[in-house]
Amino acid sequence: MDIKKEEIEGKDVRGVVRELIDEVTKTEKEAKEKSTRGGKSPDLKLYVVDTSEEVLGQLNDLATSIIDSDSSKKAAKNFFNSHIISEYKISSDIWWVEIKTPRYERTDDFIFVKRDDSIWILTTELKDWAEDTVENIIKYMPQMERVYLTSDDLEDVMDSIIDSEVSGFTAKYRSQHQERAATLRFHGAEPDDMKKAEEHFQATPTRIEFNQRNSPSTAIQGSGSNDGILTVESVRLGSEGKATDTLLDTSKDFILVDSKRYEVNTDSKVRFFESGFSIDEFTSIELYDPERESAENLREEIKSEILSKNQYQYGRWGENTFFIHDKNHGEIFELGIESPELVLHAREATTALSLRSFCKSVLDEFDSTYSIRKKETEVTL
Amino acid sequence: MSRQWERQKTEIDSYNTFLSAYHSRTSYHGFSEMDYVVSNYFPKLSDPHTGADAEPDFVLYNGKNVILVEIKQGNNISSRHIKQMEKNNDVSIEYAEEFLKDSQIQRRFGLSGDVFSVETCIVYDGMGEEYVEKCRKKWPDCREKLEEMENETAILGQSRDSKLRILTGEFDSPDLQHWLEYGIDLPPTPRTTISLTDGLEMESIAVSLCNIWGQKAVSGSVLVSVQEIRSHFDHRELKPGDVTDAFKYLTDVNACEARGNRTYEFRKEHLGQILDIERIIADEDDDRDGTQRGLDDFN
Repeated sequence: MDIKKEEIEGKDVRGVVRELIDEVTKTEKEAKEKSTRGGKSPDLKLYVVDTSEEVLGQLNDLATSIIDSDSSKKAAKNFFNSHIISEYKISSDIWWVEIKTPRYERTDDFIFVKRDDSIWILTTELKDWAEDTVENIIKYMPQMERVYLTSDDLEDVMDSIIDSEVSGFTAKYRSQHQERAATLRFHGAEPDDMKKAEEHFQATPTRIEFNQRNSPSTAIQGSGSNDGILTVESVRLGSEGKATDTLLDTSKDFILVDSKRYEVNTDSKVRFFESGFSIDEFTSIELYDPERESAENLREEIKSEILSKNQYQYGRWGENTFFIHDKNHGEIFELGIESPELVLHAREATTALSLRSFCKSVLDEFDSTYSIRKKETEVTL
Repeated sequence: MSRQWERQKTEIDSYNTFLSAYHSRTSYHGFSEMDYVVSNYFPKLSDPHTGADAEPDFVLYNGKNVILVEIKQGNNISSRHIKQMEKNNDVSIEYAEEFLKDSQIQRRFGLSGDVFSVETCIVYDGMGEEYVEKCRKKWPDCREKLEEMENETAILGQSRDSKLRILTGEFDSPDLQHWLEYGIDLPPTPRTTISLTDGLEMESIAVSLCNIWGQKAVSGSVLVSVQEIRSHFDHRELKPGDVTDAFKYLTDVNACEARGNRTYEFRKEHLGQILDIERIIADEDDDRDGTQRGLDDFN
């Protein structure tokens, strides 16, 4: 990144974001020269990450314990063995994190910001380097999981950005029924293009690009994707404040939508009383309304395409219920096969981490045409 | 182990099917939506005012009404069922209030604990309107029992992926009657909330040990003693011999390890067996019976 950690000292979250926005801000002339999106110019990326415990200031300890543990994946051990993480505290909620890749004599810089139970990771490093460094940290540390928005939720959140219009999108289609997968990429899209893609291909957006206007000209170019990344590609001089607000508000919406889908707010502990035991509350997540109307072999399909992953260990209860152990997150949940639909039930210590991860696998790798909803029974006090 | 599990599982499934009407995932007017809570699972109500010894399967309460629910499998209305419902009907309002107070109803649910009426019902898992019709018209013995039961309580039918609803008989409260005549939609795969049978058979103790304590091994080893299990379930009078047998069985199938002094340990490496305990017991059940297993079990 162009900025140094000294430059964000004493700044609050908004100040830090504003500082980073400056890196992608361009004068009218520069903006004109950059006529197309993408390319090698840096954009500002914000990863929205859900956490199960404190990770700020602990990244090194967590990495060491992954290296030392016998049960860690080989890829995870290799990654942490070949990268060096340095953390510098800016304030109680903001940390500057450097990830060194000795092999290429590279250092990539990131800013970690704590927001309630989630973490924002900000950087202007190139996407390739972010993928090789910070994205792997998130991937290999079970305490962290990127938020995951379904296509419908992504559309809703991106729609709520003021003064913006869709200017491009990536849409994916994967249906068990059709036994094929397709990816559509649109740049310079018209407002109706996304609707057409959905109607004609049943392809649902996984990344939406937007242009935000100030007067007639484009002030901000950005995008949001369903796996918890927001980017600001360019900002026109004078629109830095607007870009900062957009990024802060949208990432907040990401968290709200994600927790609405996956957060387990209920307490399904088994309690023992003199007069009997009880389980008072329930959380279930339904994957419903897929494109195909019947799925006779759904149980076997789920077994071979999802449950066969190393991440899972499972046992069966009767014909159509599974108890699933997500080894990455150390949690157990229950899965009901209600062909063609699926339902997940939280058990005693289940959190959003394992539920989200399972839903993401189903939508990304199995059938992207499912919709998701959560049903909770909370005991009101 | 004898071929016991299939019957036990049918019983357990019928409890969980009923409880899915509480959670109400597939309906907009299940018990939770009508402000009822399941305050007790398999309680014992010994009413000193009336001398009633009631042992319903579940107690539901909404701040006004108490419903004592009895769950049965199949169609057969027996004299024993009628006697059970007589006992449930003998629970007095005064005692129901004392009982709810003991159940910490206020602390757990913020409900007053006041009771205006004690309702009862019996739910037959697998009974439908057609059967009731036939019973009444075609089979005199059956009709006699049915009429006796109708006089005692509301008779409901339920089945997975269908409805829980009143077939005949009545609740005292017209609201309750009206609502359950319409019925509550039930899902095809109810959550596995309960895994212990009313009769506390050894097999069901074994699966419950796995589901409640064994599954905790995801976050590290779990040490638990026979005595601890008994005191957790103290209201149900688990026999120490049965708990020990259940643990021995689990040790045999490598779902836990004996640590001496009637203490057992569930560890991560046991999780494969812990999660699959129902299938393991069911397969053994089949083997005992000498029946050919379905091809599906070999998948």
